[in-house]
Amino acid sequence: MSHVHLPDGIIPTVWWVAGYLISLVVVFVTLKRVKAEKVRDKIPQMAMMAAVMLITMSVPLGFVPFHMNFAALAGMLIGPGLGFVVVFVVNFILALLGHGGITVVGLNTLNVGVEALIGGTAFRLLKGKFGSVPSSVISTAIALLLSTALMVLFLSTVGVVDLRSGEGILHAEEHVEDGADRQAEGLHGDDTAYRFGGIALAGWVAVLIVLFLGIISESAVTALVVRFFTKVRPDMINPEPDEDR
Amino acid sequence: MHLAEIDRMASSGASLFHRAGVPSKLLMTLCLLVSVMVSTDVLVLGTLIAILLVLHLAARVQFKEIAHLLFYPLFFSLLFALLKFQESWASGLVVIFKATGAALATLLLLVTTPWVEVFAFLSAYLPGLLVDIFLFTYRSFFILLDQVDGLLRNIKIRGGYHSFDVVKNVKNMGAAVGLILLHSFEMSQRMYRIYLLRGYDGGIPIARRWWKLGYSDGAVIILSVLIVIGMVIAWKLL
Repeated sequence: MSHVHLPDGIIPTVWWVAGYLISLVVVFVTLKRVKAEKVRDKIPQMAMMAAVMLITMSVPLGFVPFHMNFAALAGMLIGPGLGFVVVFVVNFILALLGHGGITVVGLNTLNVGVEALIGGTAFRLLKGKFGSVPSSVISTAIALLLSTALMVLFLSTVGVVDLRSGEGILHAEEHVEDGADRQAEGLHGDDTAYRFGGIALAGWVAVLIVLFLGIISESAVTALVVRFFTKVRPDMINPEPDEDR
Repeated sequence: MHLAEIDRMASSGASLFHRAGVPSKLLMTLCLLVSVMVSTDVLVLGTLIAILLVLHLAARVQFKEIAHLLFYPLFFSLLFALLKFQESWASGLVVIFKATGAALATLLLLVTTPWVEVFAFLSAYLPGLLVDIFLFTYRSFFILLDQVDGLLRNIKIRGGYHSFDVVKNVKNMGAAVGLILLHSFEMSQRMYRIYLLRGYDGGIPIARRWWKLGYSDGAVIILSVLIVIGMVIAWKLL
């Protein structure tokens, strides 16, 4: 719920190929880094986490297709690295199932996987100091905010949106090239030219508001899940210190 | 999630596409995806989507089961299309058509090929552990789905859902997700022990029987080539 699924066809080929390569390298390195027996032991757990994420991701909250991710929660429960692998699996399955974005599975994995990496790492670092439940709120909020910021920054870098104006980059370029002519045409001409830009900007502001509401609700639900685990199975969120995850 | 319906269509269908082997269907999906991705013309993309819909019809896909799945690519592409509509209507439509076309192409593969067969083919190229995670996820999904349905029904019956009490709903949702996770983790440990007893040592053995090409494979391969040729001719004509 913290991010927008990047659809096919908007990201230049170089970027989505790079996204695939980087995410696959991270997945391979993670699986190689952890001892084979440990990973084998974790595979059913990772699969269950992926299945739970798939089920929760398929439940839209409201009339727009937003949903909870629980990527940060995956990072907390099965570890940041393995959480990233789970995010790759979930994104790949969702893309095959018509959720869209088969070409951008890599980029979507990097975007959502960051939540598992940061959420899981921050939770490990903070829980000793602040306790499990407050740490889960802080870690989830930080992870989701960073993931959202990274997505916006990436879309700005590849030229899909212009951060300064909040509009499509093509519109911004046209604005610079035709600046003198537009001034001569006066305000009425500008209003006509900005009609669609205004709708787009309003749309993105609405999306960002929904994303921030999503961050708040996902942080709250994650905290409740962690509280539930501290009561019934504290070993799940406080594993043995030498456990390789 | 309609993975169960998609899986049923893939397993019980008897169309030409269902009879064809995984490699030929993957080739067709690849050709369709490349065609959708490289095309920048709204008419060409519209034609490709029309071809994809005809292919879905030929595969006797129940549209009412999958139509809502296209809402996701439609919605997310619309966010980006709004920016492109500033340029022209055609540019905006290209964004929407590309997202929808790619989703239709991958759906065609999944509604005509059982999930396990797709990953059995990919297991030749992907690391064994990753393929295991995909296969275990597939199995876990179906096990969990029924339990989640039952749990949600129980919550409603016992008054755990209140239309206007958001705080209580979020609290109950936290407990429900926690319960599902707890149950699923315990189940995963049991599943792992069962697999160990059956001799699991990393890498679920999968039979690969699709290297013999049949008439259906020939038809699917010819169709793939025709789609690519159609794209090339379109490019030259433009």
